[in-house]
Amino acid sequence: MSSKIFQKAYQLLVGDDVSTDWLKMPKKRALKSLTERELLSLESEIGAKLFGPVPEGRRREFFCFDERTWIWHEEWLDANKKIATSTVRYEVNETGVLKVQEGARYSYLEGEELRNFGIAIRMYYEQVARQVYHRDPTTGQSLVQ
Amino acid sequence: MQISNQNTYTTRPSGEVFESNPEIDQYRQEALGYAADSQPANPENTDRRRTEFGASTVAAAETAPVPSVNETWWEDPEVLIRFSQGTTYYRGQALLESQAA
Repeated sequence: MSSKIFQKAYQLLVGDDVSTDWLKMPKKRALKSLTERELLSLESEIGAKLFGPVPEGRRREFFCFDERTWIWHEEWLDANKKIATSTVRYEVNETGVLKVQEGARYSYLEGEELRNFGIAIRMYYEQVARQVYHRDPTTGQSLVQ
Repeated sequence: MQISNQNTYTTRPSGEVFESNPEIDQYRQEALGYAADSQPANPENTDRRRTEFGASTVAAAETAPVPSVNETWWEDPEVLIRFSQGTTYYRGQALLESQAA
C-alpha cells in the first residue's frame, strides 16, 4: 500500500513533463482539458514555494495527494553530479500527522515542525483555491464572474 | 528533512532555529489571533461543528474550514483534513468541468 502510493505520487510528479511553463491559464474555462497530474503540477508550484525560495539546482514539489496525504519531493545533484531524490509522505490520521520517509522510517510530527506543517497546508489550501481554482477559500464561491 | 519556515531551505534536519518567513509569520499571527478572539472552547459547539462538518465530504469541503477554538489548531487532525478535503474537492470539480467541456 505504502509503495503504491509512492509510485503513483512519483508518476504524478515526474511523468513526461518536467516544466509546467507551457501551461497557461485561459481567461475563460481556465481549467479546461487539464488532467489530474497537470492540476497537481499547478498546485505543487504553489506548494513548493511555501517554505521559502527553492535553492538553485533543486527541484521541489509539495502537494496534497488526497484527503489525508501530503507529498514532499525534492531532487538535486549530489557531489558526484548524480540526481538524488527525497520523498516524504505526510499522512494525517486520527492520532496526528505521520511522517513516512524512505527506508520505512516513521514518526509523528510534533512541536515546531507540526505547527509549520499545519500552517503550510492552510496556506496551500488558500493559495491553491484562489490561484488555481479561482475559489474564495473562505466561502468556496467561484471568483470567476 | 524537517519542515521549517526558513527562507532558505535545507533538506537536512539540522534542528537549528530558522529565521522567520514573513509570509508564514503572517498566517501564524492570523491563526493565533483567530483563536484568541474565539469564544472559550465549548464542547457542545465543538461536537456540533464536528457533526456538521463530518456529514459528508462534499458538504464539509464546501463549508469554509474553521480553525479549532483551540489555540493550537494545527494539532487537530480534523482541522488539517478539512484543508486537504477542500483542496481535493476543488480539484475534483475542476476535473469534472474539464471532462464536461
